[in-house]
Amino acid sequence: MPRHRTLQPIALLTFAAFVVTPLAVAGFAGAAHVTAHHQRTIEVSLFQYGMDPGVIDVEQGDTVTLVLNATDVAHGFFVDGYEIDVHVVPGSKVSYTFEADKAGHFNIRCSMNCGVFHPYMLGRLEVRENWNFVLAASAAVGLTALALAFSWRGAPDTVPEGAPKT
Amino acid sequence: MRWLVNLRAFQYLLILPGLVVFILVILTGIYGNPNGAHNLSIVFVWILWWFFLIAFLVPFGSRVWCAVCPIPAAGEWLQRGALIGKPTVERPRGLGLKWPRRLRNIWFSTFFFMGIAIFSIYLTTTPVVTAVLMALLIGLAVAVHLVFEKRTFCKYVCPVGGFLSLYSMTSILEVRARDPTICEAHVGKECVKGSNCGFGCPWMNYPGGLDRNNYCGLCLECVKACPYDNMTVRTRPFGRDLLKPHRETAEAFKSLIMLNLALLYLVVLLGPNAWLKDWASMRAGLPSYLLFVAIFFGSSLLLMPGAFFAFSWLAKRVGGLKGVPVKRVFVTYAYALVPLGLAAWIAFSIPLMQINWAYIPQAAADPYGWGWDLLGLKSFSWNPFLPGLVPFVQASVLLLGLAYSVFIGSRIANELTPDRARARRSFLPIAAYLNLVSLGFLWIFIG
Repeated sequence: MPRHRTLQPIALLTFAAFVVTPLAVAGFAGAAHVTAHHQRTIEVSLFQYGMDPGVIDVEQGDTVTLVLNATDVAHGFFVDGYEIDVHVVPGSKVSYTFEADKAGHFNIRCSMNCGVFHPYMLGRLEVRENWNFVLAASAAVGLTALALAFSWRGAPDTVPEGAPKT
Repeated sequence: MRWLVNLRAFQYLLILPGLVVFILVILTGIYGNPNGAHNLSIVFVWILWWFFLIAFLVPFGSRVWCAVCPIPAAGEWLQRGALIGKPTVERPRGLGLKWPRRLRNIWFSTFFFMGIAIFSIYLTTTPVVTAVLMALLIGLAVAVHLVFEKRTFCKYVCPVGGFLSLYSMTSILEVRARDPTICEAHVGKECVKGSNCGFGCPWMNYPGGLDRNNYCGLCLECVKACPYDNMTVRTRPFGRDLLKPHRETAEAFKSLIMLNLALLYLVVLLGPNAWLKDWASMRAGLPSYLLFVAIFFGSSLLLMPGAFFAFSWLAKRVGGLKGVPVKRVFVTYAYALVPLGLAAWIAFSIPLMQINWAYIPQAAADPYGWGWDLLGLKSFSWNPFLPGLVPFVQASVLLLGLAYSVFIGSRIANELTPDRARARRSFLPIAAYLNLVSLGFLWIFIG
């Protein structure tokens, strides 16, 4: 049997192992997921050109109250994917409460033009119980297997120009 | 379309709109609002141009930007002594020297690019820095055109040229001879020497023998000049040039440097750590900036290539590639990184457009940031387009790049040994490297 015929099932099994299985597991885990919901209050300082803490870590299902203050000029607190957009001026604290119902990794960016490096004023909201990376990493390995299977299946029989002769 | 391409004014007409915008970029950069978000120079160059260049023009149009680019226009017109028509002087103006042989690769362009990229946090946010850079590039292009022959500036000097050269190999567009045997038999070689209909290749190629996109600027002078109508623009599958056994160390390093810079910029500029941005912008003082410079060059020239060299050594061992130097394994397999590198840069550029698109109509309405409303577009407010999807779009683009890199790499493997089984085994460590780098990117996007 040609070697590529034996490699193809291996590649497909790898694809199944790394893509299909994690998807199924993630589905079951999501369906069965029951968490103890917490109330969290997090103080966030906004400044040119960042925030403290830079990464806000919460659990999925938490009720999060952010207490925002701007330490230099006016800033915005915009969270991609959560439709949160709060404006804060120096000298006042602004509270905002939301439920962290979506798991994942969400960029936080300043939504008020706060100075020269404004576009690079970013932070991150991490809502744990995040399967996205596991799925993507599995997809990377699975796609590698699939691309190899595809490439080896259709590999030309002729030796390419420039290949050493043995 | 044929009549359009044969029109002498064709390239002039392509350049002219870009030249108008370019002049506006310099004027607004110098005289306009110093806040980049309110200035056409930053918005048009670093959001609009950069995104379309990397996400569309390169993968779908190869180096078509080089046909439109206004930077070398003044130098080329001076050199030819003509704006549109055939040369008005018998010999091109200027010294017409040849570029030094040792520099006929993309090393110079790569270091020029890195020298500029080290200031990218200022370049992409401060209008006057962008304007001064553009003006300096035009001045440099004129000087190089007057000292060296033809498009030496575009081919070997331009800081953007290096990565356009590398990533144009992935493109689906190419200029090639329809039938190379006609070119071989043809004595006149008008595509090189020029004719009444077109200039000889300004990029100093032999168009009849073109088999890679790297140094073709799609000016289409060869299409005009060919008396047999044998030169054509055509489509092809993605990444075909990467399978050609033409390998250069400078291009191998460029693929690693670009991959590293995409990773570095994602961490420094688009990451959540304010202290890293302070290092890169000198706000934390000169020592921190110098440390950033050391990380920038060290990771690009030593760390990333060093790690890849180690995996290349593994590839040689695992594949049993006796008699094949590790350097050859390194250089050959580095071309497999090109699709992943391009995908990483597209992924880096996606949020620029998806988040900040509203600045474009604003800048068109008020290019100087003085409060104008020229086209009634000023009312667009900052309104990110589906921002929650950004990480998923980025991850998907990167995974596509990974799959294509694996596909290309597994084909490249056959170049190192005629033994198919050894070739496949030798590629496995490289596939692991591609996966490790991809996991790094995925961690940044969605981890």
